[in-house]
Amino acid sequence: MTMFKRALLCIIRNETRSVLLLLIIFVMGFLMSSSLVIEKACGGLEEQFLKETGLAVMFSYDFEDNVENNALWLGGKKDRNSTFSNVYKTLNMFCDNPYVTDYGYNIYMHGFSDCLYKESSEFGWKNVFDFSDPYAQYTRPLMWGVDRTEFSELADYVINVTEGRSFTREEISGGKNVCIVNEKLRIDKDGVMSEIRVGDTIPVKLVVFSSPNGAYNTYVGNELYSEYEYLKVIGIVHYNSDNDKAAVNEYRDPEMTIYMPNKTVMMIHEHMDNLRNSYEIKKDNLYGVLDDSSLGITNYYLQITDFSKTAEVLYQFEEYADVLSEHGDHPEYVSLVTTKDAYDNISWAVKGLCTFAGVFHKLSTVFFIIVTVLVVVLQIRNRKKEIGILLSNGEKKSKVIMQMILELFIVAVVGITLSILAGYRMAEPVGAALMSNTIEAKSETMSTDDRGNRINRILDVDEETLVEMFTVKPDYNSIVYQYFEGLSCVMISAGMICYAVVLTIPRKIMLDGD
Amino acid sequence: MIVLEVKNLQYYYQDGRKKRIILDNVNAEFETGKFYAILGESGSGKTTFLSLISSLDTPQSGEILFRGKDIKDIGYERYRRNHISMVFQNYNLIQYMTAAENVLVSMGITDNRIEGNKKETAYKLLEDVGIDKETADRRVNRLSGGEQQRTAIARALSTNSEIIMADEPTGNLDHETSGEIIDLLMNLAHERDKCVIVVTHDLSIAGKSDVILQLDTKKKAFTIYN
Ligand SMILES: Nc1ncnc2c1ncn2[C@@H]1O[C@H](COP(=O)(O)OP(=O)(O)OP(=O)(O)O)[C@@H](O)[C@H]1O
Ligand SMILES: [Mg+2]
Repeated sequence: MTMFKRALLCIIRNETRSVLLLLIIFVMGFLMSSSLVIEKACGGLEEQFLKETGLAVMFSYDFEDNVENNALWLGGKKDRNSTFSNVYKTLNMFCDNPYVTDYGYNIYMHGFSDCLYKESSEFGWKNVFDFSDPYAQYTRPLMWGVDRTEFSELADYVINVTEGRSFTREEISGGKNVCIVNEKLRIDKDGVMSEIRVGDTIPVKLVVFSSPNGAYNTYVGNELYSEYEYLKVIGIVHYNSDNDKAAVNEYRDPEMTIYMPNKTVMMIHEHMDNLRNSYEIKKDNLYGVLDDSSLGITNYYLQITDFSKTAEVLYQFEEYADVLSEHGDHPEYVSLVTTKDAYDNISWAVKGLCTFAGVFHKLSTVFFIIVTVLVVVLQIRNRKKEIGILLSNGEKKSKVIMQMILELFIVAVVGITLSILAGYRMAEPVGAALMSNTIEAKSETMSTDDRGNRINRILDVDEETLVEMFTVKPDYNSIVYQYFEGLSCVMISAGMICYAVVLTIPRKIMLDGD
Repeated sequence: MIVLEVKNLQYYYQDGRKKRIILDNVNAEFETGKFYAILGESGSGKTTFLSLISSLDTPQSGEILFRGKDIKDIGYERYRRNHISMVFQNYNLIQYMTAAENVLVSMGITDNRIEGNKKETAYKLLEDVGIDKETADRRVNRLSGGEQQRTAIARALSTNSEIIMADEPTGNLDHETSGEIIDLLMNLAHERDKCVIVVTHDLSIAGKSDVILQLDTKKKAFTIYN
């Protein structure tokens, strides 16, 4: 009879002993593997969350507070190009990095309806939008991603289209000369309805002024040159003050807004910059009409969404953006809010569970080792006679040890297999229930303001979202690890077997007494 | 033919600082085909002697030679595995195995295996000692003392060893069964040419044996009667 057969026979014939050992290994192994699986699932939740929510990034630059640093931050190009297009370029610097595939942003100024006036021309009276008016007020569509191509204020019901339509994606990305006008802007200075209709064309006046003082303050100089760009009105919108929950409206008068695609504004500005430069007048005598101090550009708000990349890419992007924002002397003016922040806002229950499962896992590992060692020691004590018989038969001690380790190993493999199966089966409901309980208990003492910030509201996620997302998926590495860990815990007892067999003196067992 | 030779054997237990000598300058020779009875008062050191010649214990001085070779040089484990077999008063069988399995375990350990199909050999050996197939397939803990001791003898035979040692093999058995077991052991010596060494208190067994070794408590050595 080989050692292997002896081991099998021993397991099969000593049912009670084997079942007891199996049960202990199963229970301890279950505690260990379910807590490990929960811990791992909690850890994997962040990645899953980022994947499912599409890695949205919000970037905001507090321009008003940072006017002085602005020049530095924008690369000191203020003298050549208008601040406006520089800002656009800076934003593009963020957006044109390899990590961002789709983005939108919103720049706005405040002013009055004065910017829209009537001008006579060879074609008769026309409504003219004076782009160079310091009180010009226009905004650009903010895209929230692939599933929300409407610009933000439409999407938030801050405005709704009463005539015509919103922008198409082609108009937004192509920088088409189109615009959407608030219905209030149809009333001219004298309180008479203007004739702006959907389908009309509004000329945009681009002016180059002289700057006798060489200062970038007001356009006190003469009009040196002017040119017209034409915007086609595609929609008329109504502003709902009740629904204005968007923070972007802080400084802007939404009733006096003309909306244009981002790229259109940028292209018009660039054209104007070129006009000014090509006028070949020394820069000290000229200035761009869109000087920041006169226009009071207050806030840049940028939202970048990436629906295809991984969490790793997001972290890389964060690093990238951090470096950019540190160009200024006051990086505190720049803030970046990402989906990861959204996750951090709501993941306290997950993190708690993760820590709990981690501690539980470590404790159960220690407990597992202690309990199996005790059981194995007790079982060896009852097998002294058997060991003595084998040794007096001339069996090598090493073979006796191997036989007993083999028995332990076979039972351990079966027990751990069962415990891994049970661990995977139970980890999901147990983990979710534990999380739900914590959330329920804490939410009673928590105000709604505590529960996530703007990005969480935009993404429409809260703690319960994570509970729903909490899934346990067996993966090869983790299963191998669990076998390794479980078997290691059991196999520490093999040391006790070696110890007991090596110390066995067969003479005492075999010849003394009965 | 001399198979086992004991020369100037000394064995003592260390009782604190004092040496308690059990065996002193013991000499003996054992031949195949003979039945040896070791007699002596209780506590005289019979079991001790047996444990030495079975290499379960080692003497402080002296030599034990198996076919002229010191068992130390053969290697104690290998000596036990291939050259001797033991039968004990308390049978010492693995309780959760059947009689046949106990025999098979021994056959699996020795390097001296009997030729042929292992299972058939095991049943044959058991049959030789009076255990039928049905009994052979029963677990040892459901066998009578006599049946267990027969199984132990079959196990001793299974390793094909020349020497069979027994320490009071009939100590737990009734008179009639004792006789049967002793007859079996005698047969092994006389018919199978084994060297059988039996420690016993039973004088009737001693009477039937070929050689008697009387362990003298004073002398701490054997007086041999052929
Ligand atoms: N571990 C030990 N330490 C000290 N003395 C021991 C030890 N084992 C046995 N002895 C002593 O050695 C002596 C011989 O013991 P042994 O078992 O060989 O006697 P025995 O002849 O077999 O006796 P019995 O007929 O009663 O079985 C006894 O006096 C016993 O007390
Ligand atoms: Mg004795």
